[in-house]
Amino acid sequence: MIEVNPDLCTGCGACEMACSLYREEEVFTTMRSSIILHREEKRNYYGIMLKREEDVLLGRPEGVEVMKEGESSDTGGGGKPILLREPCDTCTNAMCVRFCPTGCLKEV
Amino acid sequence: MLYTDLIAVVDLEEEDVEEVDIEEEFIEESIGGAAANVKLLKEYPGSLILGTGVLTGTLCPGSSVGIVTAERNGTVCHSAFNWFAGTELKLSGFSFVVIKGKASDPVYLWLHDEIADIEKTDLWGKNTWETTDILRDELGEDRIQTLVIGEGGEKQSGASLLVNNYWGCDDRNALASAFGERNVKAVTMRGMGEIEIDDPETFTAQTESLLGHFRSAVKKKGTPIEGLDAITHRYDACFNCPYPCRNFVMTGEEEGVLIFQRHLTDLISHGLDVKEAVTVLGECYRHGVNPHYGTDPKALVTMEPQPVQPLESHEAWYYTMGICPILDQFSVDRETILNLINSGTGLDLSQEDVDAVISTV
Repeated sequence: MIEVNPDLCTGCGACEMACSLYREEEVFTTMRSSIILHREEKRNYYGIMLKREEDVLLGRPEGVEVMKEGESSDTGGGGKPILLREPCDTCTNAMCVRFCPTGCLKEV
Repeated sequence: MLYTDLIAVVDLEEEDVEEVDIEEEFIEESIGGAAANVKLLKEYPGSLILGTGVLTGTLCPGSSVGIVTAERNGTVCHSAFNWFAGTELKLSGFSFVVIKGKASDPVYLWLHDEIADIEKTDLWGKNTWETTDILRDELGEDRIQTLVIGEGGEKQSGASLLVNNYWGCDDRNALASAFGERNVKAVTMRGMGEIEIDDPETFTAQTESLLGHFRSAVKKKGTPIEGLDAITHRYDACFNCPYPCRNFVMTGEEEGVLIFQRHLTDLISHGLDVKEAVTVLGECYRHGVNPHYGTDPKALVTMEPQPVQPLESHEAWYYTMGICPILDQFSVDRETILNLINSGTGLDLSQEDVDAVISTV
């Protein structure tokens, strides 16, 4: 299972690319990732959304929350694409953790 | 081969886009980024070129860089664009874009999913922030990256500055004016492209090892400017960068400025204190002008051409690889990068091959 410490996130998006590579194996893309970086750029508000089997884990500046099916994330629509993604399969030695440069993501 | 498949050759006069396949020979001879842009500029003289480095948009740490190239005052000039624009350009399906001629009316380019659209626009006269907001709204995605010009580029000022979304690029030679000359208000990018890796297992192991080096070496964040940390809201990194060098400073309740060290240092050297400098920097970015030349953004939108500022000696290599030169201070092992290029592309380049290519930039 992945744990998020949003205070350590720098918004680099390496996790998205790494998760997509785990799924695709031979290409870099960001579109297969179970993790999406949500960003409101002009006010520098950003955080991580992780799609899981039953819910979405939100790691945002105000803390970590779990969003259940049917709940709204108040991300202004910018976080909607996460609902279309495949859920995290809780792989071990996860690529998103291995390539996070700051330790924001942890496998627990 | 570490690239998406296509070069877009955009003819603004004919309002036509030719899609050219990227051949392995092209990568072998020019590797990418600034060197590949120079090669394309020879093939399409007088054009404005956008290109990605060989490692741009990959898991190689710091691989955020794309390059704009054009001739200014008879000299070939390059400007890097970082943040997420280099990556999104490559993922748009077009690893390189050649922009030829001049549009009869203002246009923007929309590069997405191997489609390059030339769109007429009434955004001419809008500042860069308004332009990015409107384009993201029209095109329906907040994560679209823009390269955009403000009044400085429109008026082809010698102090014009290319802007990525809302933040100034390291455009030291007014390449924004090369957009303005062509009536190109913006280039917008987003895509679902796939960057093929020749030997993914080796490439992944090499990049992970390189990241390990940076995890040990990078012990700081932000830009070392006196007084800046005290007003910093958060430290941001460009795509996949282990060094979050960009301080973000709030200037209002809902907005702020992403700092680029050179620009803020320039304003402080003109006599502003750090808070004033941040506020003026935001205005410079809105107008699309370079604070190197002064503190009054409105005055900078009309300025005669300035002498060309050449690349710093180490930049040609970084601009070809697609890695941010800010990482130079943490010692980037060039042998490791060569191995990455070879495992990613399937080529068998030597250090001498790379040096020969870099010498063309």
